[in-house]
Amino acid sequence: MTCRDLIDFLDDYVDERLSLIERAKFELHLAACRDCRNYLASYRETVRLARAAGATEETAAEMPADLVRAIMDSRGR
Amino acid sequence: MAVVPSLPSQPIPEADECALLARLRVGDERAYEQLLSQYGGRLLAVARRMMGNEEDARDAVQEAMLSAFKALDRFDGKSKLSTWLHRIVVNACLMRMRAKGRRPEVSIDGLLPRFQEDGHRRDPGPVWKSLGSANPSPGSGIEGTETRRLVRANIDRLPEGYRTVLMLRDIEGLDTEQAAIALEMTPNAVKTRLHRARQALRELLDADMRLGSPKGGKAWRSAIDPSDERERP
Repeated sequence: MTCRDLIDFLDDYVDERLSLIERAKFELHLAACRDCRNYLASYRETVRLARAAGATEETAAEMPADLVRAIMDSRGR
Repeated sequence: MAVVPSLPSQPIPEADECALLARLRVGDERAYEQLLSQYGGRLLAVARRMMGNEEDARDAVQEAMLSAFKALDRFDGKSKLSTWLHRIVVNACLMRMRAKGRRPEVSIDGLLPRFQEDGHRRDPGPVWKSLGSANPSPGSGIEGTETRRLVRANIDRLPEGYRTVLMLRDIEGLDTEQAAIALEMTPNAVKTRLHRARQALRELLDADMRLGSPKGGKAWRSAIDPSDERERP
């Protein structure tokens, strides 16, 4: 497996969808390639950060009173 | 139609949700206002994320809520009310995005890893610095807040087709099948596009996250056509 092959399998590896044989090949390459280990770590961090990116604004968000009014008015029509 | 997972936090207990639903179904005016005040803020946050500007977000929420009101009799209670409303808002946003017209597809090849002919990396794999807390809970530190802002800004820089897939899968919580239905794509196309979007986002974040690199050193504009940049409020 080369670094290019590893990229192709990255998502399936992170989501644990690789077969045992594919996973073994993937991890054999990782064990020998520090660059790919670093890339994998930053890729995983990217996914984690993306998933966390929307949460705070959501818990803090409020519905503006004028939008509530506009929706209620439209509902009455 | 796709079933979207629950919003990250539930505003009211299930028993109260049932009571609210019963009042909605008999046309209790105050129940509608209660629904909007309890769920509307977070639904508006979803629309803001997806639409990228306040006006479109508000329009999408208004459309979504009006169609939800009309469809209340068809809500079967198999999912939570919040889940059902979230799905309707996501679909309203996607419809508005389609109505505004698809932009020409922009290549993100410049943001993907590069390899030599023998398949090995052309660039060394970067080491990212410690990112601190990205915990989205209220009261988390400023580093977490700033990191989230940085991530959001870079998600918004992705070409629309990639941004939308990443938003639906990683932020709105749709699975591959649900995103495929919502986007009218095959599940395999969603998987491929998501993988490329994540790689591109990783590259956009790299300049800020890389250990020992000066902040903001890499210009995404060199890799993506600047004309594709979305309008932000």
